[in-house]
Amino acid sequence: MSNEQLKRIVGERYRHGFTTDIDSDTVPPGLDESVIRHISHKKGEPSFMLDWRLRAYEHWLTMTEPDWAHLQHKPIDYQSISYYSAPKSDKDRPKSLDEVDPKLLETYDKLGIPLHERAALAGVAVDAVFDSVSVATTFRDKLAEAGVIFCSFSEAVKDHPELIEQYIGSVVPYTDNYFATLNSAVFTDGSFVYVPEGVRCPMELSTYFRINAANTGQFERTLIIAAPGSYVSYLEGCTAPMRDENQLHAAVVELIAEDDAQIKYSTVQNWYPGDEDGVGGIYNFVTKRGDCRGRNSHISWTQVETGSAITWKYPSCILRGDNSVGEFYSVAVTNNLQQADTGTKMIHIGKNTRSTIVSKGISAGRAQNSYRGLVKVTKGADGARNYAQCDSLLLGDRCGAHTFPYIEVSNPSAVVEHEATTSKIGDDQLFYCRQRGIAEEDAVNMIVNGFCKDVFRELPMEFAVEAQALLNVSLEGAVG
Amino acid sequence: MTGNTAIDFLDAAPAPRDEPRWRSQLRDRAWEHFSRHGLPTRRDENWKYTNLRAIDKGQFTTGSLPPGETSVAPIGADKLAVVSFVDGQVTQRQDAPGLSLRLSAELGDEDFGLGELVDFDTHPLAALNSAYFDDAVVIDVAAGQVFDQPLLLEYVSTARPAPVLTCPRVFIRMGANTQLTVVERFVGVDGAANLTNAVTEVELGTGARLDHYRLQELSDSDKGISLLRARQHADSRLVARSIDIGGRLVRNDVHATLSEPGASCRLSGFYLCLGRQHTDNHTRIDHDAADTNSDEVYHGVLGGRARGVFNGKVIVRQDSQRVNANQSNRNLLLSGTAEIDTKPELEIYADDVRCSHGATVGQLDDEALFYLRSRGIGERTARALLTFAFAEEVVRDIEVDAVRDYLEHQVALRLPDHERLEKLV
Repeated sequence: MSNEQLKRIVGERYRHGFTTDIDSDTVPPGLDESVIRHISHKKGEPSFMLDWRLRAYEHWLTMTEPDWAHLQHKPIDYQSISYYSAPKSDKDRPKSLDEVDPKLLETYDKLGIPLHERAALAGVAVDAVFDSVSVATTFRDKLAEAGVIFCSFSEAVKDHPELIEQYIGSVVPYTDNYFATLNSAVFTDGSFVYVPEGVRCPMELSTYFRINAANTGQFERTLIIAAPGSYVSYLEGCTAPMRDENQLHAAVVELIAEDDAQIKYSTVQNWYPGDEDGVGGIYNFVTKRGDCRGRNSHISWTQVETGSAITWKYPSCILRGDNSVGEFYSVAVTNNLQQADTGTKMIHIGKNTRSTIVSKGISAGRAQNSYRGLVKVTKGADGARNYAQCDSLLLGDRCGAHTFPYIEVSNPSAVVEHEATTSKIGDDQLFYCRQRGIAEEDAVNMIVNGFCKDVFRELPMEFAVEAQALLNVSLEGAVG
Repeated sequence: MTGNTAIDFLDAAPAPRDEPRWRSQLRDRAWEHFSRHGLPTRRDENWKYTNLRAIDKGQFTTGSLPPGETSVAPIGADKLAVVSFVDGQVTQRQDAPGLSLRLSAELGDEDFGLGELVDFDTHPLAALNSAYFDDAVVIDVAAGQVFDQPLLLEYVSTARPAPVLTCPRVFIRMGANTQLTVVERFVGVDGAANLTNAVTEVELGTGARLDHYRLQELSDSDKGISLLRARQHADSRLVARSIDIGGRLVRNDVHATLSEPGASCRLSGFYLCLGRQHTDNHTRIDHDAADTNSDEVYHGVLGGRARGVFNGKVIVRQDSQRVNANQSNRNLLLSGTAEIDTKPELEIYADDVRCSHGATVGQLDDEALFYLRSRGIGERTARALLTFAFAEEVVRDIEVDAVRDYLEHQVALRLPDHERLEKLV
């Protein structure tokens, strides 16, 4: 393929770049105790929540930003970020989709994800997060019938404070790391899911995050609790409008799986990656962790990461319960000047715990893509089993692909295997396809899709389709 | 710089003496670095799993001392040449016709570039070595020279009333199309509790081939640190083999830079850690030119309360196209109190490459055990036999017969039921 063609295809512009003009109730930039008090007050939180935020803030002040990741970016000015932004129509919250601000719906339409259509067709309940406050929640009744609580985090704080107090910070404590601590102090909203004992959640739960108001860091907090014997599948998808200043996103996701419970968490992340020269784009520093607390519990992370200027994200599983299972399936695509340092941690503590890691990194342009992972088998974790496979595909001679797996084993009955490969699309593979009459571009598509197949097939149907489309936008034909 | 005792575990700062200019310059630079940075700590990513507290808390004598009592089993190979050190003092020297082998004192003022390849920031203990070494062994292989027999460099650590720091230093310059085999043997007598901190620098000229063996049989109170630093020119080949069957606290680094097309290297290693041994192997292969290849195999067996560490880093620089790099690290955990921390790394900035690594931690194969037991071999012996076979996957590649036979025997000796084991193999 000629360089020209390659440039044209790789240079395809970000399709979801636009902003919706809605009056936001935004706090002026800067962070101090009063901002935190303001956020907490605005949201009408109980006092334990405010105390927790303030403790986190105090701890945050003693921390320094981590610099160990294989990433380079200008220092983030935490005082230039506005920590709260809610759509004005907050007071009279809509009861149904019809009451939702039409401009919001328009935004979703532009993204190609009309809420009602999607909800009706796919049977998906959508808790749409627009900036920092949830504005629409559907299928509440159906879920309520099953006893499932699915609401925004702020609602949960008001309606189920006992659950929040019990579980918040129990997987990712507010002292965990720089970005999680910041999130604990200033988080504005997010999703809350509680699946009661023995309930199989009747539908896939889904949230759309979208960063909108300018200069507003988005600090989401998601908490999912699966009581004994329950099952839930949660989808998270993201797109963001085009913007020229870097935006910080520091989310925290906590999953808790009790005895025999299963949580499946899928993400498609397509935030604005910055332009061809690396101007703009989202800084995505996310802490995601699942706690397999109960016996036979099961947590699986699936992620497709195509966006963001910088991705710093390690969805992890703490396999505490005996026979618990952790899984991590990831496709990370970087193009232009994007940087990704992503991977997982599997901490084996219980007996006969198993974990699987499949990570596929694709790097093009001048991007840097790193896998960083830890598999730790502690002394008491008899019969632990881990298999990890990390493959990297390089498209172009100015990009980089790196692998940093840490393996720490202190139990003699553990079996841990790690494999990694790095290569480009083989000329022989391309030739094979071309020779059978497949156009070069289609052939590359086919090979890249094949490369990611192991991960895509873990995604729920509707997401798998979106993921493939995203991959095409980000990369299509980026091979010479 | 005399009288500077900022470093607590040493009895004295390195004393300048009547010596050539290059030596005092290197000493000053090294000591300046080391006294500023001290020993690396676990906060340093490269030392995350290896704590040097045992050295930091110790007290080591640095001056020249008369060698202690030794009785070390010899390796029965036909040798090209031999230099033996006991506690840092040369006790035996046998030169080879045609091979230029000198000690640094014999070099006079000639500045031959010793120390150029060693970066103190990457390996802080090389600074300690550079500040304290006495008799560097300098080997020059003139273009076209080919030597079949191995050159043996032997370092013996003896039991002394107070532990000593010895800093073996070797510099090998290989001209174009040369061939040499070097065996560096670090051995400790029972009760020795010294610190051996070795640095070997190698410059491989175009088409040169070096076979380097590092055999480490220190005592179980000895501490051993080593660095093999190689720079390879076009079409050169380095084969570096590292066998660790002793030592209390051991850290080995191998850094190879493939700086011109056609260069290749193979690194292999075996570590057997029992009791309370701690063995850490770090390798770093830097593909700094196109058309370079590397492969790497390290096997480890860990029992007792031992801890093994492996870190293999492969870097492929921008525009270093057509590179193949493979790496594998396999570990056998034999006890519930042993630990292994392994971290294979790839850092790749070019696209036309084929790189892979694999790391495993596991146990002996149940089916293989069953097979042996069904043929009347007791479980203990069967386990020893399979462990031995796992070691053999690396040890059998040793091309110097006498060294291989010696090591096979030494490995077997450390496994249960060794008499029966040696009859079986």
